[in-house]
Amino acid sequence: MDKVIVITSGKGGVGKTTTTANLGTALALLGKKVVLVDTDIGLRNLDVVLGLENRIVYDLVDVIEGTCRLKQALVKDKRFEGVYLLPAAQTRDKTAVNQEQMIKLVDMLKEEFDYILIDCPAGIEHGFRNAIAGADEAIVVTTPQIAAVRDADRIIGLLEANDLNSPKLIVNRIEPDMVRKGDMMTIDDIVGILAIDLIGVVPDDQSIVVSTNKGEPAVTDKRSMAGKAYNNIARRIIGENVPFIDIMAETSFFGRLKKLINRNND
Amino acid sequence: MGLFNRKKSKSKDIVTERLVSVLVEDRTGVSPNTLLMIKKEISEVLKKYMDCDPDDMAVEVITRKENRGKRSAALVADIPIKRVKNK
Repeated sequence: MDKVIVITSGKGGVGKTTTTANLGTALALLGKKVVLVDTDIGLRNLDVVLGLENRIVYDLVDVIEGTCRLKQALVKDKRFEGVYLLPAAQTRDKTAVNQEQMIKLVDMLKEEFDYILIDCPAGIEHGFRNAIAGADEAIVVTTPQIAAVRDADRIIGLLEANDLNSPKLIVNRIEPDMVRKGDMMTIDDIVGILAIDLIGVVPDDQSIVVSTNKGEPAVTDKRSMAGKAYNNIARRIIGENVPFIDIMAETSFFGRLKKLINRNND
Repeated sequence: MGLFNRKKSKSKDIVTERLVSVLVEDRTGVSPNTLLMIKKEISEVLKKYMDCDPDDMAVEVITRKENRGKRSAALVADIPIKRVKNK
């Protein structure tokens, strides 16, 4: 994929920020220099998901208004070589920035970084338009829920209207057991309906809650299924051909045992 | 026991159907009602030339990917012909 990638979804709470944090860290672990830009002005969260909230001095609005230089606002993650955060302003609102300023900012970042991941706010208004303004490509995150897929579809339409063609899809929080029971849409259902290319499937995984509690991206946890999925997506972003994990097959022995017992208790 | 009445439809089939129908309207502004009217009127036009059962007709809006990655909508009609009328 190109180097400036916006991560968007339409609906809130589907995992945009978690996806941005994990893909950014995973790309850095692959040796890339990456900046993660939080464009959710007024509702910033990428800082806490990355565990960098105590290191913020300046923010994106400060850079745009010239209060500081770009380098002063970038927070370098000391744990992972190559991860930088450009935090959103928390005490301003989305109208503090316009599309032209965003394009200029992204152009400055392009000189320094291999990848620029832009974490987009929920919604389709000003904040969304700012987030996509400087992007070359888009990743759309959805979950297997009707409201999330509907909003993803709307977002795909708006991306295309803004010449961001061929967005890539991440289906997040898939629950193989529910899919198996016929109580959750399958990946094929969702991909078929949205008619865009899939770049990754992330299983519902409690380890995400734990890693977010600690402020450590799940990609650094070797036992995390979601972390593994994000690592695979990062490798696809840099152009590797990584086969998709068969999530339906990846149930633990105990998971299958539990299901067997439950079935007998029906 | 429920061994003999397991034929209820799965919730994912219900949600997929609802989603598809709501997206047709979101994408194109064509409501299910409009599609029904289009179907009726097509069958009226066809009556002159052939016998078709409106209940067997499927008229729907589909989304397809163009070669440059952009999606586009298309109206697709599947109309089984019972008999062509001779002139």
